[in-house]
Amino acid sequence: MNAWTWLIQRISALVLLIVLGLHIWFLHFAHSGEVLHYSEIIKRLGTPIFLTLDILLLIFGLYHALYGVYSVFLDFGFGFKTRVLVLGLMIVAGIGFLGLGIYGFWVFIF
Amino acid sequence: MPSNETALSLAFRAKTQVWTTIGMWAWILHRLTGLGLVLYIFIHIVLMSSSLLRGQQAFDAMLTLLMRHPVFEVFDRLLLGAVLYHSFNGIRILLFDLGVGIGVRSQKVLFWVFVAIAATLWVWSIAVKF
Repeated sequence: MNAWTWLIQRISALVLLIVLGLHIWFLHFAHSGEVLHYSEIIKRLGTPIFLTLDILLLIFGLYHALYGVYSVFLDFGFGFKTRVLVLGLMIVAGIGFLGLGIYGFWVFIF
Repeated sequence: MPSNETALSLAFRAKTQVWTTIGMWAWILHRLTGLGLVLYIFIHIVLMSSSLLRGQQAFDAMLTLLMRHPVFEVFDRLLLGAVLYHSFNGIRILLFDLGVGIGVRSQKVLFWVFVAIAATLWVWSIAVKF
């Protein structure tokens, strides 16, 4: 891991401040307070800007989360082999959750 | 030359006095809220994706449970608090990267200012939302 992965972590933090803020605001506050329904979500995901926001949230949220977990492991000063193992697990988890998230959006994109 | 006992005592103080600083607790809380949010994002992706793919009934049942069950309402409040703390302390960290507020006194002032903003937003959001 190098300066670039650290920089992307910082950039993802900035993106999340905006994108997550909008996500929480639109889904939980700019709303009647009633339980959200499937029809509203379908309508929202059919709008390119909301779909883009959600995909950005998925990608940057996962990167920030998984690099964050890796950073916590770094704090404990584990050896090279453990670091590589943790990094590998984070990459596999990232691909898995990204795939699941994209698959969830798939029906709304195509 | 300090005695062995004094040397040990000084070493202990040097290694543990960091626990009395605000920066240390800010860092620990940032890590703890971060790990909690990682757990949440995994669960959130799995629940939202799987219920969306299973169709309207499954999704509506899931959302009704998550948004109406008293236990999940408590979790929602804690989640919002964790997001707000992590976000505002994150802004503080980003400012440090830019060389802003890194003085001994100013980093403490920044911490309390951002905690105050986050706490105010948290109380406001609970009052408005729940």
